[in-house]
Amino acid sequence: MAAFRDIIITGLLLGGIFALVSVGLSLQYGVGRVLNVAHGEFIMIGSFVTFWLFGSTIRLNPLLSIVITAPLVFVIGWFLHATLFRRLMHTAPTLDIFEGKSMLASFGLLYVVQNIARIIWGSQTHKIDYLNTTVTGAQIPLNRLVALGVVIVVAAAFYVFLARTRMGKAIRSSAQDPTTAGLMGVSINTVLAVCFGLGLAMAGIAGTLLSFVYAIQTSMGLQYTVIAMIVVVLGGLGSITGAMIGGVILGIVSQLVTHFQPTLTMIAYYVVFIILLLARPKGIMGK
Amino acid sequence: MLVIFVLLAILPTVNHGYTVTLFADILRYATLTVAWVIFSGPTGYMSLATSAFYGLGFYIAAVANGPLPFAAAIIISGIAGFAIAVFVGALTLRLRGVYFCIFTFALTLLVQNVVMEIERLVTQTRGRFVVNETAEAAYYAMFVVFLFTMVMAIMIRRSRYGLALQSIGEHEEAAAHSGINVVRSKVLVFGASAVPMAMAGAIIATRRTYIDPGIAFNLNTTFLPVLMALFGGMGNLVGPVIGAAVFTYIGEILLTRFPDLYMLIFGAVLILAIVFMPNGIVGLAQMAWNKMRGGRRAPA
Amino acid sequence: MPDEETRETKDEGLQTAKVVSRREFLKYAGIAGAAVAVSGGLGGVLAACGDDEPTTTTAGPDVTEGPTTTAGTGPTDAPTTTVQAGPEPPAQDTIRIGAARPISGANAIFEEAHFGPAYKLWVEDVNAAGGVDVAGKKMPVEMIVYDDQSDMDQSMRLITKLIEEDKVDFLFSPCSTAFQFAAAGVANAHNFLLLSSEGGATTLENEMKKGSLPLYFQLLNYSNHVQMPVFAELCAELGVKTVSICYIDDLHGIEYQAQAQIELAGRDIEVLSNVPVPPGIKDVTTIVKQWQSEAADMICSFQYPPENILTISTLMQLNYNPKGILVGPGGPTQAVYDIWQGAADQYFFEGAWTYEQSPEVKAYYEKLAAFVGGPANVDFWGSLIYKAQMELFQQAIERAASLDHQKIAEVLRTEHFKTLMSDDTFFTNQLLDASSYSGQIGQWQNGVPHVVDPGPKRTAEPIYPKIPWGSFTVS
Repeated sequence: MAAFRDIIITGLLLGGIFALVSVGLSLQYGVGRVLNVAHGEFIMIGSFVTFWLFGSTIRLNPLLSIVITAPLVFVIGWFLHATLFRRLMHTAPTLDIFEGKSMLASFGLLYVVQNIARIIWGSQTHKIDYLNTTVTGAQIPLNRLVALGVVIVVAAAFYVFLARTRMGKAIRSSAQDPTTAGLMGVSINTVLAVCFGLGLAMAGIAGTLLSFVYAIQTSMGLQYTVIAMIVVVLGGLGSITGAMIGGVILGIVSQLVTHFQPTLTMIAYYVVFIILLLARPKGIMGK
Repeated sequence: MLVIFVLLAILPTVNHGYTVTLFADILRYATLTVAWVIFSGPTGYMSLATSAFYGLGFYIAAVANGPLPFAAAIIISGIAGFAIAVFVGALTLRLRGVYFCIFTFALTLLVQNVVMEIERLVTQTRGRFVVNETAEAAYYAMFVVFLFTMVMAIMIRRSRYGLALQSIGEHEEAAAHSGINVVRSKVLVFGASAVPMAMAGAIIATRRTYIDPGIAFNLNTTFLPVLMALFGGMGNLVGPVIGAAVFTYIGEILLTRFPDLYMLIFGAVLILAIVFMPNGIVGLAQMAWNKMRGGRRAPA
Repeated sequence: MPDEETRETKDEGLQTAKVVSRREFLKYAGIAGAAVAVSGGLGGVLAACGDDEPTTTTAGPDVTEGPTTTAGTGPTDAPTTTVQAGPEPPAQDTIRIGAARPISGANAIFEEAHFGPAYKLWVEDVNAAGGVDVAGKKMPVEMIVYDDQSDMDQSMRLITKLIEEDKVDFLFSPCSTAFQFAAAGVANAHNFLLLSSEGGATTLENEMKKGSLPLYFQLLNYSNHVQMPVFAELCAELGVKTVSICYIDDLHGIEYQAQAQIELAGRDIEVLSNVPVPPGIKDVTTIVKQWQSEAADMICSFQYPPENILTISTLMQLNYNPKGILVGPGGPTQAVYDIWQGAADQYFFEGAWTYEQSPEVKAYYEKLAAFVGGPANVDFWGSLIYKAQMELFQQAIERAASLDHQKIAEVLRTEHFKTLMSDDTFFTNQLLDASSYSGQIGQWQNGVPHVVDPGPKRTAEPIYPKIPWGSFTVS
């Protein structure tokens, strides 16, 4: 029973991390239709900026560096959309073609970002030793609990933003029907750029939090992109709630399998994903 | 066209050195790219399973090459690739667009991890040694498989399957309503496109000495053909071949000139190509040709 | 150390002899290449050199212990090593060396901080000294390095390109065990000497025993060569009775756990659990809790850096402090130790060498640290072995007095060398002899890496049981 409780608790915490690396991708695809293969690279940027600030003379608290990483990566995302993806969108004849091309362009981005980071920060493995304790009384890892807390707060804030603000409404209407939204006076270009920027900002936040949970390397991006893709498709592309649910499912499955046979953990990811996708091709929360 | 084929056929007799290796590599990419285009070109279903079939060829070669002749290993790989692709194709019928794309990607990763686990349990180790073939043998095998792929691609394009795929790509429901057996067309062509992929894997494996799942199911093998097809242009079959050749060759030049910045430049070139060459090299060439013709006509 | 003196004086003899006699001779003989010398030129050369050439035709071992030269090193003391070689230097002016190295991709750290700096520093040094001395001719080294992107396909093609198109004289090894397997095959097929760098495995040893890789030399130590035997001996000495193992589900982990089981069983140490872990695992709390319940004396973590770091962090997080822990790749890297700012002090690691072992090593350590952008990037497993690799390579060429790969390989196979790592460095069956290493198992003690092998290589007494996590910190 204790083992079962452990699996659920650690699974939930791991699920929080999976959700964290995924929500941004869900947003980028859900509204912007960009399946960003370079998503993980921006997580890496978040991690390394945090690590760099932590190691610098100011020794910035890793949690506080969210206020730097999130805006920084947001600006990069906004700029990328305003230059690269907007152009692709206007030249592609159909949405399908745009999806294909934007994905391939993001491949190029992956190489560019990863190699710039390698040139700046090198290839050494690092980690920040921070909050590496357990909550007193219970054996719950504090750093993961904080990560779970942050993803819940960010997702809730985002939910409110989408539901209550003008920009949020614009984003929702653009996601549902870009043409009409454009006719209704929504500046579709701005909305999409903001959206893409926000998606990346979430990657930046995830990177900050990961830097004190896991070892970080400049080549680590793709593994998180793969996790994010699985989680996002599992939950339903474009659904933030779906990403949260998908993350938790993957987290619990992962812990369950690790408990019995650790080598099957990765296999379990893909098997769960494939079975769920075959049963519900549009994901758990997909329409 | 014929001239090029003849030149390719006699290449190893003229040059024994690196050129054979380079061209074997170009032929490999051309084969993978054309094979990928056979299915994904007309239907618009972007498959990322290339490396799964290619890696399968690696493992079949590791087991079969030696006990069986080289050619047999290649043919067995082709058959196995077809069988597995048909099975996968049948599974993924309900998936469209990006879901199909991610599904095939996860499939590649799944196969890689399953092979890893099997190797740990069965052989108690990680990799296998492969019986080697000479560079020339591998080159000729690759050349034959490339010709086979081209012929198959042309035949499929001209057959009713080609038309069926085209209409599936344009509007799948409409195609189904107009009496096309959508399921059979998709599954069979997906299976056929996996044949050259597995064969190419079996050939390349014999040039590797030692293989492990990370090498066999290398994700680059999945991504590069897609990039090459896009780079060359997918409107016809010349595009993918040119894409593969130019891509490999440009890569080679960049690599020798700027080893430290190679991947960075590679990424940037890729982005620029996608933005400024929406229809690939062939599209660009056609546009230039049209402009020239237009230009000539204007004064007349 | 009489042996050492012998060799040093002989080295001197080697150089003076070459400068005086070989060059002169070349002017008259006018023989173009080493190849020509071997076939047609050989007879004439030997005849012409006359007294200069003691025509001993005995094999290597005799050479090293062979006739010791007297203090005055005149031309008559010409080296005995150039028995089969033509004594005239090659016609070309530089030595071109090619390498397909992981400048980008997953293995990039190896080019940045492992073998990469070792060969780059060597090239700097050797060119500053005028070049490698080949039969009296100083030949500067020219490197051609390509980025293999940590990709096997690229690596194999680029190695072929280097050999066949760029026509390099020598090849440096690519990174990682699997790449070396493949590269060893390509190199041997082209009659190219290959000294391995980052990698090595028992699997390859079996291939070498078949005799199909006569030009391949293995330098880095690995599981049965001879890390696990030494580790088991250390465990026995420390009174370890039980061990829990977790290993990465990859060639490295699979071979290490297998060897560890054999060696530990041989010393009556019980293995309580042996858990495989896939690369990229994101949570090891279940494994750490299992260890907690087993309470083994020693924990072995045969994983890769990210997984090893996760494992140590989880051990600290759950505050389980085993009496001893052995950490695989990453463990010997200063940057990894620095993550916990000393809080993880006293873990054992696979390796090993220390800058404490001699002033010369300390000097090289400082030079290396400056080159790789600070001490954080120094690796206490292989860095000294790579340095020795470059020394062996240069000395073998100079003793062979030729660029002929077979002759250099013969020198490497049979002779003994003095390197920074060991005064007596040599190969046994193409594997660097166990006695040549500076150590196999290390331990971080108060922020300093130490060799703790049982026997004379030990630079500090092993500390066991280790202090609790966090009782030591570095600023």
